[in-house]
Amino acid sequence: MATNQAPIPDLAHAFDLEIARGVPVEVGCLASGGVRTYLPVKGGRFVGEGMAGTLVSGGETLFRRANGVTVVEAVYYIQNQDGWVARAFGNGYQTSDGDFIGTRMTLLFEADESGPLAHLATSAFVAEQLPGSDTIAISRII
Amino acid sequence: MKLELALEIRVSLGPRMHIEVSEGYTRGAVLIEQGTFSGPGLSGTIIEGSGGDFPIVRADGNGRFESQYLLKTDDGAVILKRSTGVRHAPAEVVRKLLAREEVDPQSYYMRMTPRFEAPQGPYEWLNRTIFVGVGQRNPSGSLFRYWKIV
Repeated sequence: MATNQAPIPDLAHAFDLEIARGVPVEVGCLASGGVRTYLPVKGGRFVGEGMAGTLVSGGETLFRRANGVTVVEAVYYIQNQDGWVARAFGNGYQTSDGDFIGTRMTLLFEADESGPLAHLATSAFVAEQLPGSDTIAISRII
Repeated sequence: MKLELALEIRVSLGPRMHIEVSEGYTRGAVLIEQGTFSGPGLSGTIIEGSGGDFPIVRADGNGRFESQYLLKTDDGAVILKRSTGVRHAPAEVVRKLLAREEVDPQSYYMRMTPRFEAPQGPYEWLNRTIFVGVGQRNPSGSLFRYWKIV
């Protein structure tokens, strides 16, 4: 039965990603108006939504604008306990003032279409990390 | 995290084109012919000829959105909108969507994550806000509703 009304979205917690970051790599002040920094991922782990595993690689590229907002571009490679890998990629903002302080991003996933992580590629996700935490809470947009 | 409705965009679409880049990898292209947007404290039109949607289309018709175009507010500000997203649906629903037939919008998953680049001033909050969106494809065009995360 057609309703002609699109769904109203909601967020459902999917899993937490605990990240161990390496030494920042400072690129410096760019002519395009900001400071570029790279944060390599050394390792980590994830758990939730009926799955668990490790964070095997990735990194976060930061671009801190003069207005204080930092644009974050992130890539994470997660591996479940059976060895299946998924790639998460996305971007967002890190803010230190205003209504929200912390990092929020949106993420999409790629995974082998025959594997148990394939479902991650059929949704879009939102991620949030609060100051002082090494863990990103990842929610599925439903 | 909570969601707060921020914006509705209505667009009419030009003809769909496909670029068969390699086996199993197809780039789609649909240009936006015209459109309008409105939300709390924000309304205007889509700048004609400023862009469209260029999705990665899988063999089963599902895929990823990659759209880009310009908004112009009623008070003259120009805002760049870029968006990525996911469409996932049963094969018959995809077939109807691609044929631009009437489809129940509850029968498919069409979510997107738009970003904005706005000038300094009343719209600069767009430059630091995360949004999630739901798309509704109609025979005559598309309706996108965006919620900001607060």
